[in-house]
Amino acid sequence: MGPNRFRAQVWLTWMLLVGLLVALCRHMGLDVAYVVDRLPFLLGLHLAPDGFIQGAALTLLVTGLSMVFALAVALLTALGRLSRNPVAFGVATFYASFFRGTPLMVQVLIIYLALPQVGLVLGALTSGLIALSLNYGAYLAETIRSGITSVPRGQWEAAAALGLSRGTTAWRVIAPQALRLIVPPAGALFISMLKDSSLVSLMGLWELSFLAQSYARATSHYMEMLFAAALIYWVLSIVFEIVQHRLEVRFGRGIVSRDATTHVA
Amino acid sequence: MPLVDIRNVSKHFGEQVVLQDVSLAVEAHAKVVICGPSGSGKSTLLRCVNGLAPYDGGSIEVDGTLVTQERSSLERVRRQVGMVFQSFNLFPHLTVLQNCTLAPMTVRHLSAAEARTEALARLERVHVAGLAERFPSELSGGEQQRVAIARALCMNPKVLLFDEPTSSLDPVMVHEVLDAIAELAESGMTTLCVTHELRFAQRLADNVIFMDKGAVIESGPPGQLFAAPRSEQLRTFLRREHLPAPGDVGPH
Repeated sequence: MGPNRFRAQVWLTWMLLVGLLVALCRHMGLDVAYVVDRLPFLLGLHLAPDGFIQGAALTLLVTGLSMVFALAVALLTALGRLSRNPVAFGVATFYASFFRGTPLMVQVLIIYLALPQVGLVLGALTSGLIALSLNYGAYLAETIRSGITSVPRGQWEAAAALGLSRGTTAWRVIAPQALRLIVPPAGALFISMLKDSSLVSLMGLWELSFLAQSYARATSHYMEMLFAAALIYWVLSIVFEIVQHRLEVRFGRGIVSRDATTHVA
Repeated sequence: MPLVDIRNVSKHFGEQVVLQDVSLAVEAHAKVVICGPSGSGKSTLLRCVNGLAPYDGGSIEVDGTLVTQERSSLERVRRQVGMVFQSFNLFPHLTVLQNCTLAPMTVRHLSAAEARTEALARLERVHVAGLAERFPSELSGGEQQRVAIARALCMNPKVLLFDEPTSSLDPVMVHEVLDAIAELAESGMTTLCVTHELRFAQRLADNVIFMDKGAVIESGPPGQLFAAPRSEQLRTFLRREHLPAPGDVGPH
């Protein structure tokens, strides 16, 4: 089967499944007007009564900021894991072990509910950001570490022999090759983070899943509201995937060119 | 004063002796080939010259600079010494041209245009200028190795080190790479080449160093060395590498 025909049939299958889903929704007699009415709130086009952003906008804010912080933490941790300094290595492995070995929800609650007991009171948003960043940073660190170690030794040696500085070697030679391996698993982590950001609702933040639940409970429109929330998460995830794919193509240059011809067959 | 001056160099990995009391002087424009069985320390010696591997005893000087693991020494030495590896080690995410301009632009601070002009001239010198916009993965092994040579040349080194430059090539590509190296050496580039290609050593070198078990066993002009090996080690090596020494009558 040619690649074009395969792709066309995949599209067709998707359309069919989407059609089935729409038909199912119509059959259930869902209250579309209610969804349309509440959609601007779910998306976060209006501010919450307390003047804070809400809905999908808050979900994106939490995810976006946590991504940045998680990346920074993960990079430091990965360097610690690669370090010959026993203290740096120890700190990095200790941190990663704890945050990978305990549930995210427990971490959120420790930061938000347990820390005040010892006098450390953090706001809901801050707590959420810290918990998500530290948790995902621990996973991301491992991804970054393995990406860096997968770059062949000869690349470091060639850079050294040419007299490239450490900075040039890291950013122009090693990082682009490591990123090719880091982007796919990191993308999967960020998509998972997008969904786990719903945990910040535990602390009373009005993010997407929280709003959907409250609207659902208020008027018993469970199917409508939860389905709408799911759809918004789904669309956001697809956007993340598209970005990830673009990055993969970008960092795969030179290396993928050969795979691309053999891959289709 | 020799361009590369290796004096009584030794190196150990724990108990194991990798180099023992190796001395070798390479004059400017010299064409030196180091050969020997695998594990003889010849590649390690080469890597000590540009500081890719540290050594524990003796001294190596390149154009008057003592090679140490200090950053200032490494920076100076690597400006003078280019290296071509067995496995090419081109940067796969960069085009051929970018491979050749990265170091000139970041280390020599050339402008993009200057670096490009120089790189194209070096690529032309090894007959691969037409491949400038390709990625390494799109090239044959022989082409990749010639690009690697051009990349090293772009730093205007005073001496080029070749570490088994043809060992990972298909036989048909060995010649194009050896020809490129020979052309360079004949144009006056100081070359220090570790290789198994004894016929190439014969053709190119004005001095051949034979190493075994970390030590220099014999050295001399190739005609003399291969025609009249004095040591049993070299005789055995020549027999294995199918370059029968005169007087050796053995099954072939």
